[in-house]
Amino acid sequence: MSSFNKYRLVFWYGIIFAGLIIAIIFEGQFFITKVNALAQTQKDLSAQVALLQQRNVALSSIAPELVAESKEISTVLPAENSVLLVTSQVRNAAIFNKVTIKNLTTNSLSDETDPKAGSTQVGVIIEGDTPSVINFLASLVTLSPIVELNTVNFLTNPTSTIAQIQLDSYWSPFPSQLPAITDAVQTLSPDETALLQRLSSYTQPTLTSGDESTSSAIVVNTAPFAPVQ
Amino acid sequence: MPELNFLPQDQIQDKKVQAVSGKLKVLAAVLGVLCVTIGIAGTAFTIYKGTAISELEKQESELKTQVLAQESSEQTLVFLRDRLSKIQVIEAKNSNNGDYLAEKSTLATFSPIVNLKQLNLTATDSNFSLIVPDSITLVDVLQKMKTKQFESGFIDTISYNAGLGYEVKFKIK
Repeated sequence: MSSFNKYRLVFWYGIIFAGLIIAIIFEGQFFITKVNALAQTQKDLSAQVALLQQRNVALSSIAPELVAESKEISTVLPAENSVLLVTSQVRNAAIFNKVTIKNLTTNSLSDETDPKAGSTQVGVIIEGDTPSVINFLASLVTLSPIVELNTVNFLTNPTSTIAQIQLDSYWSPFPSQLPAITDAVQTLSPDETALLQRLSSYTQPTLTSGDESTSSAIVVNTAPFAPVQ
Repeated sequence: MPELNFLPQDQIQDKKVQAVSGKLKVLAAVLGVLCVTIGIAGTAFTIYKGTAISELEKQESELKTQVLAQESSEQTLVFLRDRLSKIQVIEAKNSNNGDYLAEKSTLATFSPIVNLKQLNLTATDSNFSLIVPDSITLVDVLQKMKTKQFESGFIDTISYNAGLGYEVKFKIK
């Protein structure tokens, strides 16, 4: 008998055994890689779903009043130089508090770090009785657009009270892009909600528009150089 | 009884070889079963995970639609947060508004015969002077100035004028 015949079964079983070991190694490696990849995908998707759920809940909880308040806030801190609104508000406050504006100057500065943002400096000298001047100063603090008292020099004379006030008012461009859909949404903090409530009570500017019923008719002067009678 | 083997002599296998081949046969069978088991378990797990992933993908897609439908709410929120954070920065830079309101509310608690003579408010400090006509009112004023709002302040000077009364100058840092 040849030696192959003698060891034939050992040879074939050995081949099968070795083949199965190699097959198990490759199979194990394949499934481990596959399962790891699927587990990672599932983990990523779960995180994404949790984040989207948080966004959905946060956005659903926004009260409709916020939309109305956002319009007022856009006036409190406008997107552009608001010097006309500020001077108009200062004049309205002076009329309301019965003080006389002796002088009013304005000056605007852009923010070097953000050329689109900046501040307006308004200098105003007013005269009136002491309680009126005190109330006028207090009313400035709650004006929209927001103004900050920079310096106040207030002096009472025997006849009247004069206050020299330097105000700062600010503007800043509106945000131009929304955060990515994969970013978490932060709702307003209690501090921000309190600030929003305070700001929404600020005195909004009242701008008058032209009313045709009260406007005068245009009269054509046929003899503009004639002597005035 | 003796064991009889009628096979030709060259086909009779060695007993040791038979034992080794028997063991290899068993091991090969075990490995075969293991290989099949791993294959079935791996495939089942892959199908299970794939189903879970497709469920999550469906959920993600629905949520994205819902979130995108609320874009206007998000715009409002982003806008408000932007404005409020900037206003907070502005207010943190300058505390004069709050200081003035605090001074005003304290002044309002004084007797009407106390008059504010002078008030200077700057970014770093503020000072004001009051005209107090008599010493009883002066004691009352000094008591009221011990409030929390003025804990960083102090009396700078107190002077007396026979015609006006006391003039008290306060400084607040």
